[in-house]
Amino acid sequence: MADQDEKRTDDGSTVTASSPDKVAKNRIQGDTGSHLSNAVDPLEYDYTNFYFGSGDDAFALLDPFKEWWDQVQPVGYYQYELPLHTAPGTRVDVRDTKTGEVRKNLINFASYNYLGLSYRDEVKAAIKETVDVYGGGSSGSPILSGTTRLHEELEEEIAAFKGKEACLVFPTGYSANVGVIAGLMRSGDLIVADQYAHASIVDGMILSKAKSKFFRHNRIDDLDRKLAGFEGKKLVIVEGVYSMDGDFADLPPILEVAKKHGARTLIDEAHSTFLFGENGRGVAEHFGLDEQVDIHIGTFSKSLGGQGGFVAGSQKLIDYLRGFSRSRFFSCALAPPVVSGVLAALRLAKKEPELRTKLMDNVEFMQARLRAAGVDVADSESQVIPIMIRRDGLMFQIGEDLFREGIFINPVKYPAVGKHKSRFRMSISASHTREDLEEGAVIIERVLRRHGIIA
Amino acid sequence: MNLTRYGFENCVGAFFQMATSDAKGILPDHLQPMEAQHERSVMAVLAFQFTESEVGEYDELVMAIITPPLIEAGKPLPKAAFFPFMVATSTPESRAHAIERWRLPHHMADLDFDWAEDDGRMTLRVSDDGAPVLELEVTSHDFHETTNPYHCFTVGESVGAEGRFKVNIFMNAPHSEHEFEDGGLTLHEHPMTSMLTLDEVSTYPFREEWYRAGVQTFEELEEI
Repeated sequence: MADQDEKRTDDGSTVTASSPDKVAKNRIQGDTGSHLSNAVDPLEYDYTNFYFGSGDDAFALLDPFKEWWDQVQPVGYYQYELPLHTAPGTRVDVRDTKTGEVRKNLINFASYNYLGLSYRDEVKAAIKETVDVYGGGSSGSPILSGTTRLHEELEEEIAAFKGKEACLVFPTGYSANVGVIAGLMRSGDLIVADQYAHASIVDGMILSKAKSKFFRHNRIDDLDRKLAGFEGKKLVIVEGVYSMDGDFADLPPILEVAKKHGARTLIDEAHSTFLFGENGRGVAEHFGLDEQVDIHIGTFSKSLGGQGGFVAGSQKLIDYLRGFSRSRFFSCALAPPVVSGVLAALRLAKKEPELRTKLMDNVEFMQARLRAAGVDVADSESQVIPIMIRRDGLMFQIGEDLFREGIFINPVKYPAVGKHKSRFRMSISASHTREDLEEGAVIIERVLRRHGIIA
Repeated sequence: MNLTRYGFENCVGAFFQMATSDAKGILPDHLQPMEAQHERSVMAVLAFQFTESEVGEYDELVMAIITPPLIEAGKPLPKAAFFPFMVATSTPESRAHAIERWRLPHHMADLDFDWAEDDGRMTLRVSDDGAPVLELEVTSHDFHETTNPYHCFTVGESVGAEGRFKVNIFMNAPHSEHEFEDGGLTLHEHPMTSMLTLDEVSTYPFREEWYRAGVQTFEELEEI
């Protein structure tokens, strides 16, 4: 055993080390008792630190969480759940919950309103008209008393738009994924999803009790490996456009591998339905593989600016899911005014394909404009443009500057994305004018330069 | 309180997904694995180049399951918690020390550690009398001065004793961590890896960590 030495530290603790002087060269600085953790910046912690805790009281984590939250909310987390005082248009008024001020006329890069349909006069008129006929809510489960003629119309029109035999509408996109996956797959089956699959997909997998695996993002070799050797029912799940990175599923080889292993396929086109492909059906149509995918999920809350989700596919599939999708079965049906607003938006999206053209022009302009300024937008191929910061510690400072200088945009950091994969998620709309985009790009460039993110 | 300090040149580590069924099989009943994804728990592979300690210089390999820390009101918040299920070192003295003081289960042979650093990438090859145990690659991001607290759980039965223990550990060093998935892991059939279903361990890390030239401090072992 090496020679030992002992010394007392300032807090009275005893330190044992073989050669304190030599260790000191390795940066022993001051005390290393338990109080040192108090020196850790509270922003170094995050939600994951409060997921589990000791003790028998179900409220055991509330006090430690509150202690942390009270420190971090005013210095950064206030940037989430900022209340809008206007419709989610291209310019919005947003209350700064840190100062209490309402910040006016911010350029909105945060809303999903990709085609700018949520506040169109036709949509609002349809909603108002329906309120007069049906009132505010549907007052029942879809399988009992909650289905109206409007719900039937919406399911018929979505099925026709997607080119499928049938469609089933859900209260949200989240419940569509949960209900479809858990409605179809069972214990003993295998589900393999892309590692960046949305939480609703993951929760559906958990509820299904099937064996769950995740393949590395868009890595076909890993998908092949995860499917290999499994005997039994298999389902492969991907998204059309990934919500944090804006890139597409590499669908052609994914479908090839799934087919090789006899797996059924599900594509969640939450961020791509009504936008991509010749008829706007989504990324599957974009690749010319619409017929090869077994299950098509979508949402009304993104491009159509409403609320709700759907699954489209064969009549047999929909008939089965109607009986086994518990998230639909045991939820109140969508409110009729919401349904009529979605129907009006769907009809506009079909009637005005130029909206998609305008959106793609805006996307092309903004991606080129930001890239020219040296901004890292990763591999985005869509209206979801990540502005990569890659420095978690700077996110809230940059977010505050962007907010105060005229932009409404969402910071995304760990654990929503990986450590130091932090970014601002920019959503582009067909309604943005070239002036909106240019003004926004100038602000982003200025703030990122100030913080040393771009040269 | 007695503190035990270890000076190190490098500590590299990476988190890999593994089957939750394996993790549950390894952990004692009072601990549960932290999941990175549904049914995917987290194995940490950590390697230290100790330059100063009570038992001199040595290298150490730690294979651990990440578990929830013991968060208690009024107590310091740990950065993470782990349960080392297999440790190996390069000297007999360091093994005896860690078994006696920290109740850590060890592979009872001197392993060889081959460290190679190149352009922000540390490659470590660990072998046992010529037979490969693992190859670990860890990459760096920005280094920042940190003092990170951790909880380490052990059980007496790992070393033929009784009791459930926790020790608070502090890492005091410039620290880099990221989730760029640039590193890698190759595990070989060996007693160090025998508790794992090797096909179920991911070959790339979802998180990589690197502490440079710093100090690891252990508080006293406490029974829980």
